[in-house]
Amino acid sequence: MVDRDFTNKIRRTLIYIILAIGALSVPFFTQSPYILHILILTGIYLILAQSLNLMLGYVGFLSLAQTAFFGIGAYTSTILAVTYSQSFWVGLVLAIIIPSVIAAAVGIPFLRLSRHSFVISTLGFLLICWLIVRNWVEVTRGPLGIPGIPSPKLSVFNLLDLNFAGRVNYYILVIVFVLVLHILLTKLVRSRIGRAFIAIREDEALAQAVGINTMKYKMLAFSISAGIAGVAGSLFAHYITFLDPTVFEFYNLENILVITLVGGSGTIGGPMLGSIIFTILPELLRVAKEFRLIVYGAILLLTVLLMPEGIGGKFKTYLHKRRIREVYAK
Amino acid sequence: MSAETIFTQHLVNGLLLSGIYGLVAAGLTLIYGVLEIVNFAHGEFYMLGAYFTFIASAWLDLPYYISVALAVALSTFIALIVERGAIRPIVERSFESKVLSTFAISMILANTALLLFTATPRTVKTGLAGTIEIAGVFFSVERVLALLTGYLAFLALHLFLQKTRIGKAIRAVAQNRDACYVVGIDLNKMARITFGLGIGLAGLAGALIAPIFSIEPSMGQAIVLKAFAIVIVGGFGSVKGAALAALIIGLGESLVGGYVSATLKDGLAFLIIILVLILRPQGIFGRATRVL
Repeated sequence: MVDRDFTNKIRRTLIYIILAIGALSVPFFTQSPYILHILILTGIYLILAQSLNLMLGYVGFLSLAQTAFFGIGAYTSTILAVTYSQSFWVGLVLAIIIPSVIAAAVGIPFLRLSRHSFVISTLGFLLICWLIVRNWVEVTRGPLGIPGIPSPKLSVFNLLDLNFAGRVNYYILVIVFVLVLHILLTKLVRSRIGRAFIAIREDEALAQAVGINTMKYKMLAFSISAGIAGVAGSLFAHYITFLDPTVFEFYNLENILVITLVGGSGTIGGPMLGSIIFTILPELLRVAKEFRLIVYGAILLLTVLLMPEGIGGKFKTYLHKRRIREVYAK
Repeated sequence: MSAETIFTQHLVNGLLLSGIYGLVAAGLTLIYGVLEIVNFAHGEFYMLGAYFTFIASAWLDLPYYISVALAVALSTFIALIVERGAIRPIVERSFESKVLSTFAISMILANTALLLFTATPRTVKTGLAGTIEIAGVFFSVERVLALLTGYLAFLALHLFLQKTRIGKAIRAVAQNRDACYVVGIDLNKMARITFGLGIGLAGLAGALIAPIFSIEPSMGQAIVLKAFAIVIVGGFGSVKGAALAALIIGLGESLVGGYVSATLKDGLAFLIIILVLILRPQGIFGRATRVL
């Protein structure tokens, strides 16, 4: 008999390929700017939600600072592009490096704290970033915001010359980022490092007792997640082409909490599902933003109360149970 | 104005802020002590207290005193519903579930207020005219009233916790839950009373502040962080620590805002949170008995 794991792996790879082709071929079916706009934002929020997922779902630390790293990434990329006329790619690299370095710096004190204090200090960090961006007018222009952020361009000698100004091109760009992130994250959480993350989530003291340097792994996860949030920020800024301190508002935080939790934290597919649901849902609920947030709040509350593992977690349990039944049937 | 009058003004305003922060933070710290929940929705009840006062006095034309009482009663009533529906089911769950549950409540309450009252700032008129002179500086009656009521409420809370049977039981739960099972203290009941009491205090703070500052749906988010700062400085679960920390932060904000810069005033609470957490995670007045 063929090895089950092997067939499963092939099946999973096939599903990914089909999903990838499906996602990339959307522009062949519709070029509606409205639909593409929604899908681009979904992709960006998915990347941000995955950064939260890595901390909350795998390491078990609820970080409210992810939207701060998103904002820092957005501002880094924007200031480089507008003030220093650097290309999107330079901005993108620094939008990964700077949030990661800041995360490592604040992680040294924050990650030593208990999980309670960690949540509150990350919230404090978010608000300090917000305050700094609003008041450091010489660099960020404060509440006025920075307009005219250029679209990304890619030219490789004379062979390739791409401009990501149009919605179709930007959509492809975002999807490529989503796919690359998906593959890298899946690899990461299944690696030795990922298993160390999960061990910390399950029991930090025990993880330490079996020789895992928990501080090192927590720092690593926090930095990686900040870098991922920075990528999302950079993509966001160059898409919207205007940036002001409202990126630090609670709206983004609430959005990714709902996407991650309802989709299922601790699974890579969960937030993906969550981001799709919470892109379609607001379009069905074409009402005031406040009303939508009330509904989101209610959904978040119900999820925490009734289904803390999220849809993704439920699915995982179902697959696990089926597998057990099959093994027993044999 | 002489330097002295300015100083008196900042001092009295700081004391007023301290009283308000103290009420909000005392509720937060009590709820943490008994239910082990960091209530992210705490500020929203402060906001509700202010809006209930606004409804009662501006729309229903009730006198200010009755409006305040009504606001406290209504916020407590809503708190009891919330406790029943969203807090009790998660008391035994992980810390993250508790945070997310209260975060969801905060989202629901803040956005409901935004939907009903819009973001337009409102003011409450009490009909109390006149000023009171303190050390050569004149303050409105409303301000002095809020200040005094705030401190009286705090004193009443202290006496309640120290002298009454229920107050003692609440402190007992905060100290040692298992021992409470042994001596037959009803933990669920204590949790309910504490949640109602804590929220009532936040509602009172909102009602007292309503005639002094303009009220808006986002006011809860602004104060809850300050209350966190106070609770962290005072040590989680300690009401006395919260009182001292509220004095430090309230006066600190008023003086920093008056003499240094308004930006630093807004950031002061967050800076204090982070500094204290790094240097003394058990809080300045807290004892390192429980690893938080």
